[in-house]
Amino acid sequence: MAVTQQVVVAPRTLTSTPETGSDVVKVNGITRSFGKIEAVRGISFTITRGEIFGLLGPNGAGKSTTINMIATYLRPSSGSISVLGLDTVRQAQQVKERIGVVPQEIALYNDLTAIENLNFFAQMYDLGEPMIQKRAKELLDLMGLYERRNDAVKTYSGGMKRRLNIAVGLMNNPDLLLLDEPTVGVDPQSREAIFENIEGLKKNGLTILYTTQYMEEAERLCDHIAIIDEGKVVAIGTLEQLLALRTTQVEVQRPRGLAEVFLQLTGKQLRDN
Amino acid sequence: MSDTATIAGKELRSYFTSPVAYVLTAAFLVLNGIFFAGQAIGSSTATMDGMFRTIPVLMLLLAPILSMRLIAEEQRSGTLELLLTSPVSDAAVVVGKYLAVLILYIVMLLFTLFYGLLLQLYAGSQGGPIWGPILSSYFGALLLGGTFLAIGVFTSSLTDNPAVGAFIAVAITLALWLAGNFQSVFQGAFGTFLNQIAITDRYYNNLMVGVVALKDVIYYLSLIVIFLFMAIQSLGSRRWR
Repeated sequence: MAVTQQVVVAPRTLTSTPETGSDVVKVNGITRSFGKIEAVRGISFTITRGEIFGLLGPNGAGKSTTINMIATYLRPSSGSISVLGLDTVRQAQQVKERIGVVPQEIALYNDLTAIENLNFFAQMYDLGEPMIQKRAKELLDLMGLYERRNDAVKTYSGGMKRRLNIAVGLMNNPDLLLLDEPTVGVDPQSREAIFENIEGLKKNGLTILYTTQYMEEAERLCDHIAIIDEGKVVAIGTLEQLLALRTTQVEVQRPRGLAEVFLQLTGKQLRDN
Repeated sequence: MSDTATIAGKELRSYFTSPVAYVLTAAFLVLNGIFFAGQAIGSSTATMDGMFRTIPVLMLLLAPILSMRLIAEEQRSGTLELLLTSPVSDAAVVVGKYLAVLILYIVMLLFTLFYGLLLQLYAGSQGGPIWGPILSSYFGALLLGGTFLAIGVFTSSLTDNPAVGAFIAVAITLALWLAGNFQSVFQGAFGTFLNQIAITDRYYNNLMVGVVALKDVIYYLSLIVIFLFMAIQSLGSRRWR
């Protein structure tokens, strides 16, 4: 049975005075093309302070491109992004000082130990040696890696590397943490540990942008979710709002879970690109 | 500046915690030693010309190998994304990496001073080596090698495949090396230009014979700055390309 896609949950209204207000990220109609390929086509959303905002989408939906633009790693072709009131193009340097980034691929120096990796990246933030040592110990403890701190990263399992990558993203005590599919390729125990860490960070007031293609992760962690497909936001709202989505079919069905909503909105064709 | 030093320190550590630095340094010293000994013994003169004539050829191959992974490997491993989303500037990344490989090259050159000491030791009673041209040759080898390494850093920024970066570096270096040979083909201003940019002529014709001219120093420093600048632009261009 064909399902008509319908966007029923409008993005939240943007407000002003972001630095002192509750909006941490404002994304306004951004587009991004790579040659003739339009990876992102007019995405807008707002992330408020202290929430976990999920970007949910299939492969190639534009999640990583969006997060890379917020992280200043890519510039939007059009539109604008502000992070903590700072423009990500014109004030990129200041934005970088206040965000933590955990890329989709594990990004660590394999020949260095965990503590050396943390120290190296922390030195880019001019934290000062005592603060770096304190922060590194805290985060290694938090991620359950303290006992292995002096081992080369190349001896770590995939899950340990993922947790260390998150620790690297937290070294500068960011106001905004960008997590790009942080559970890809990890075992269930590490995945659960990562979830608990993220929930703990949220309790401490950290704002998090979390991209994933797994419904259960979005359901468990995210306060607001934007479902994106083919470079566009197709729905945005709280989990409850998304579950309340109804099709325009005559025979109205209430979706049983986020997975069903997701498939209704994005279709069932394979995304191999 | 501290970011640059941090990056340079990390790169130097990477060199010396892997076999790369040791193997390449050993190869550099053995090959230079062979040409040094061949010239000194064959001509029975206290000279290091054999080694200095060989250094550009060795560096044509060694510089791309030393520099090929500096940025390309960061791209491949994903760490470049972390570096470029931290407050460190693109210039600090490029200059830090360049300084690391330059320091390694200087260490290699310093080891070859042993050959000069041998000359002093065994030929000292007959007047010993003439140190002026030797020191200017060292200075020239530093400038020429530094230029080759800057080319390598630039080409490493163009790709996430170190081997491809190395290949492009060899091609650019060879083109600059052989440019002067085409002076007669292209008459006029362009021919003169090709002759002026020939990368090894100033080394062989001036610095190796003890002539240190400011214009030659400026030429090599300019090339270093140009290639490092292009590497910085190449990194920055990732944000919009």
